[in-house]
Amino acid sequence: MVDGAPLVLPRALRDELVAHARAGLPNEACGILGGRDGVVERFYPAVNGEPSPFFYTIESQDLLRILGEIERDFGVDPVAEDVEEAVAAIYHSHVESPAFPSRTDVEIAHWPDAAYVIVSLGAEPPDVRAFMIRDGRIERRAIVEA
Amino acid sequence: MSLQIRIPPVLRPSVGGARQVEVAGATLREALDDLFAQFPAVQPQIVDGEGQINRFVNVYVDNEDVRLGQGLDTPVADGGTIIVLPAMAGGSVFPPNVCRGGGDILGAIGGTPLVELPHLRPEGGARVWAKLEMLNPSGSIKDRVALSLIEAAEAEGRLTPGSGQVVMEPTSGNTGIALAMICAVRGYRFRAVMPESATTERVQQISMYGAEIVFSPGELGSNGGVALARELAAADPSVYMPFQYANPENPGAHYRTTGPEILEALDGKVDAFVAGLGTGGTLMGVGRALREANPDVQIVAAEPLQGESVMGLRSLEDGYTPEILDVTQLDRKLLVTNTESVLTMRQALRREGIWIGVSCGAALSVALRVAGEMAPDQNVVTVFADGGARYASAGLFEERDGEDLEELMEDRLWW
Repeated sequence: MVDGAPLVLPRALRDELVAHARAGLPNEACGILGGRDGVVERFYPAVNGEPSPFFYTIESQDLLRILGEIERDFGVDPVAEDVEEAVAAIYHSHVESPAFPSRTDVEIAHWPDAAYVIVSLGAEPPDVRAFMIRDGRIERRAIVEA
Repeated sequence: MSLQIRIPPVLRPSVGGARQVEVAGATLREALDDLFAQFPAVQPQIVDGEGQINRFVNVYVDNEDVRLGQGLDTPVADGGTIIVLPAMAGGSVFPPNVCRGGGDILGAIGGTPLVELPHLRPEGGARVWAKLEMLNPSGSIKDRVALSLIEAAEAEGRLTPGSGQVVMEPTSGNTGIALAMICAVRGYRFRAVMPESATTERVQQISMYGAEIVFSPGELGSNGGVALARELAAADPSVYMPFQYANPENPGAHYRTTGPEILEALDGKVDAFVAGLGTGGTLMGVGRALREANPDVQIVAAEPLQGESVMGLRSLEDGYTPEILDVTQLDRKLLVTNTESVLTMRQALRREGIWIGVSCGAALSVALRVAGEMAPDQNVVTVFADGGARYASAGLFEERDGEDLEELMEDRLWW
């Protein structure tokens, strides 16, 4: 079930994600991965607006702030333009369950052009996987380091 | 007066592909109303039926989330910009002891554990997993279906909670118990039509919730119950009959909940799925969800031999085929005898410590057969639709000297 081009996530950024996910325990952590053409260039950690071990939502003012930073860093306004031109992925952690989109993840996945990266802390070493979620369907997307 | 509303990618198809839309208004409410007048399709994507902004949509005026301020009454200025952004949100599965949205017992439906059966796994074969559906509040997988059936009827306006309307269904037991529970909670009267051969436990459990029971002739089995219920419903239009055999909400419940829960638990890696053929709802709904994740998954029906009547399962050769059942979606049908089903059921008790009934024994027997044909890195999943307690009076759990299972089961119809 691996479709489409892989998501390029350099090792250093992957390590940052895992560290951020751990720092967010016992709750889920979240953030945005800035990048173009499926290549992640920068990690923007976000505030979980409804902190819980079973839920995340990027806090609304933080979301706007990060998208502003992405506009400055990439010279593309992801709100006005197509989001995938600067947002490679939306990331969150699962504190125990596998790195696979949950029902909740699928039901409220409203960004069909961004990948969803899930870091599962239920595995050791933590499992990091990417998916495209469109119209309630899940497609696995491979992750490569370069 | 003019201002712009920025439209995010996911909403653009609803506004003819536009990235922004020019609107007029002095408050956010007026500006959004103007947007909805121009593009009605976008309205439900931004606000709910009561006009409130959807929980997973953020709306900003002058870069301020309006939820933190005056909401829809936020004033908007000429030349200003309104930004609509879907939330970036989600979450992992809720643990069984946390009911989504709080409320009542109905919040505890679904989210059942998927356990491995390592002690029964065939040597060199695939791993075998079972979803413990007996842990639903009324004790069976039918809680998922019954909740879907009732909620769909409520959404269509056919049922109103608390109204005392009559809900009637022909049911071999589990659906009746589930509907009896849900009708008790939601304020409906429930009438179950079931064969008089149904086990005492089942009849008791349905009546306990305050439901009425109408018996159909035992020798006609579930088909007789269906015929009688149809007759009674046709005679009284005030009665609502969800009719799980033909209602797409039956497989729909499994497509939306059971299937995704299995995928999530196994990280999307399911190679075969085995279930008994009752209404076909589980096989169709779970099958569809699994196939979307893995087109090569094998969807296997466990079917009793023609003429043998394992509780709750049907043989396709024996007559009525439920409307929701599309046999082209099944990769295989494997036959199972009463004896095999009972022996496997006992193995589940003695070796895995799981108390199931004969129909689950049939499904497990087929699941073990399929696992024996597959590789060790593959996963075979089955569902334990209910627990053995419902069949205690059948007395099949303990071995007796010189017993002949075929003979023992022959003279009774097994529900």
